[in-house]
Amino acid sequence: MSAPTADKVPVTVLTGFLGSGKTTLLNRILTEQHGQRIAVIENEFGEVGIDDALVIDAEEEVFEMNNGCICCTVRGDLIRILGTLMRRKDRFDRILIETTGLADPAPVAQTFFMDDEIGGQLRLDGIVTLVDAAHLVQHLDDERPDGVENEAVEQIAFADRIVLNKTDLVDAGELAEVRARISGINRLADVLEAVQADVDLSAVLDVGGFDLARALDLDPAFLTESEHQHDQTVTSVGVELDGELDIDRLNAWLGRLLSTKGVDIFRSKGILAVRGMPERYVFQGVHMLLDGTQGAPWGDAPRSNRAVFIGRDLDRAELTDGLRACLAEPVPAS
Amino acid sequence: MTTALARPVLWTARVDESVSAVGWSAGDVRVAVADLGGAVTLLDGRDGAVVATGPTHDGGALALAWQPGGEVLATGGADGRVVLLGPAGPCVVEVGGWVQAMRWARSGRHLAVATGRTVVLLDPAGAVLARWGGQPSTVTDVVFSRDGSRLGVAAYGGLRWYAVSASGASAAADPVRVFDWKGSLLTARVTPDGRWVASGNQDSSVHVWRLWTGEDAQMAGYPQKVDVLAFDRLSRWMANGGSTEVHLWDFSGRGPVGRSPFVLPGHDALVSALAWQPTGSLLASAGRDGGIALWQPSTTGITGRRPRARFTAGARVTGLTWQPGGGAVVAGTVEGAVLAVAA
Repeated sequence: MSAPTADKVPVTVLTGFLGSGKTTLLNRILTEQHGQRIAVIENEFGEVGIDDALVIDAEEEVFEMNNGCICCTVRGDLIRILGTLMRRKDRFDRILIETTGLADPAPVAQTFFMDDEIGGQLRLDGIVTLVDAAHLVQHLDDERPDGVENEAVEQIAFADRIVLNKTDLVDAGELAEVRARISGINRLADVLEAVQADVDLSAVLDVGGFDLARALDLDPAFLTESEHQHDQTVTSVGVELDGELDIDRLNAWLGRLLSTKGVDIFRSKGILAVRGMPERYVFQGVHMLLDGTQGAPWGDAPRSNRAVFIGRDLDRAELTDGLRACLAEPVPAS
Repeated sequence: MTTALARPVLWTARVDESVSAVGWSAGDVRVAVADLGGAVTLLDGRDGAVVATGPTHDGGALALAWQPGGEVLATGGADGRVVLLGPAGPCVVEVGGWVQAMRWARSGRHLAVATGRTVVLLDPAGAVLARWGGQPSTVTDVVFSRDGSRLGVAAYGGLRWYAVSASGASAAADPVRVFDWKGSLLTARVTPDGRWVASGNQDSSVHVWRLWTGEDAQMAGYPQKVDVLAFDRLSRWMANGGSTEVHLWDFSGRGPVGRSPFVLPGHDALVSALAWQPTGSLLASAGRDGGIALWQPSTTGITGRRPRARFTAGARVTGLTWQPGGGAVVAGTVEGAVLAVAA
């Protein structure tokens, strides 16, 4: 049985390299959100020590659900731990999952799509990535063998919020470079600057990063920018298009796109106008897994389409043309 | 619910937290109830009165198992401990991480404990006879072959079989056999006649192997993960969950391959627990909505496909256990309710 979204317990994923300030942020959440029952699933036991929080050690155990499909990897340990947590009468208000800087965030997110028991009772609120302003560029530039993704790039790409921590250790020029590198990879995530992880907690909790009901808040400049050369292969591509889409064409295109490029597309989000549908069609996905629903009605607002893809080797022209080909046939004016 | 079919509730009891496991002692009238608050409560199976409180497991009691033909109760929890509660008093064994599953050999001489990527073999007094660490993934279930000479370890990637000598002491470090299969096993059972082993899997399938040949087959396409399955005492039927209907597969003769299951629509939510009567042919099934149904398959299948009785436990049933004499079945729920119903 699936609980209504509002009744689902929010889950925040905190990720980032060792030294990025994750433990500091975790301890701040636990101290400052007192009154809330919080369960923490940690990768290393004993880092946080707050009496009224339940701290559980996790093993970061990743497995493939469908015979070797890399896009359908899930976290087996989370299925077991979260399943047990949700059966308790003594419910939690919030769950935090900490992952190491070496972990791929995709299996954590995909667990919420692939396991009905988890997805039915919990909602993935957002992926918050902490980065160390002084060391991020160096991590991003670490060479990896072919076919192995740089973990720092992955963690930036998957994030809904990025806490750019330890800004006191860099000068203005370095800070600007770090910010440019981050937005080169992920243009959707808000970047919050911090010293000692001193961000406003409301900006990292209740993010609604996977919430289809919340509208995409896109930087208009990003959508209209001309072709932009990045030195990284992981980038964000935004597509904006007026008009209405044909649902069959859209389904066929999205299906084809994600089945052929799903390995390379880390995250996707969109708000679309579908012919015959008075509501906005909202979708978001992680790799090949896509979740779509009807959002708020368009009303008198002009019907248009916005979609964002974050991933590796994305072809802006191909994505734009693909979406444009989904436009419904013009209707003769009556 | 069809009240005309309601069965008399013999007694009800309550524990403080969500029930994780229930077990009726083979040797006497006690019913053990483990809960996620960490308590183990012993009830009198005749009236549900609390007889004693058992060991506590910080973070939650997760598994329990009564020794076949004996009096030892094994409990395990999130505290990484196994407690063996026998007539001589409790014995605590530190095994490491969460105790995911426990199983006694039919002889009652060996207890297998799944904890993290390790399986520990204990004797009833708590001595560690063997330890198989470094499993490819967290062990989700453990099963013994009929004669207890093989221990099957279920995890992601299949079943690995280890030799267990009568003393348990000379256990070899490496598996003697591996049933490779690229999927995440959640639960496993061996037929009482020792011919088959079946697993319920995260990818919404059931996988079966012939124990001696390793020949395997898969029943896929369930709506949800298959986290419960059970064989009847005659090794004729396997019941499994994974949907709101109980599926009943015929394992007689050449087995289930090429046969269609009997599909029993008796629940309004996913099947969450299954238990066969130890003395007869009744099957108790329960759902995530608290519905409980009793079925009576015959040797030819099941007629009418309607439960012979239905009742409700009020909330998701997480454990079902039969009185050894087969006269009653006990259910435990996520709300901490425990109730016994006459068969």
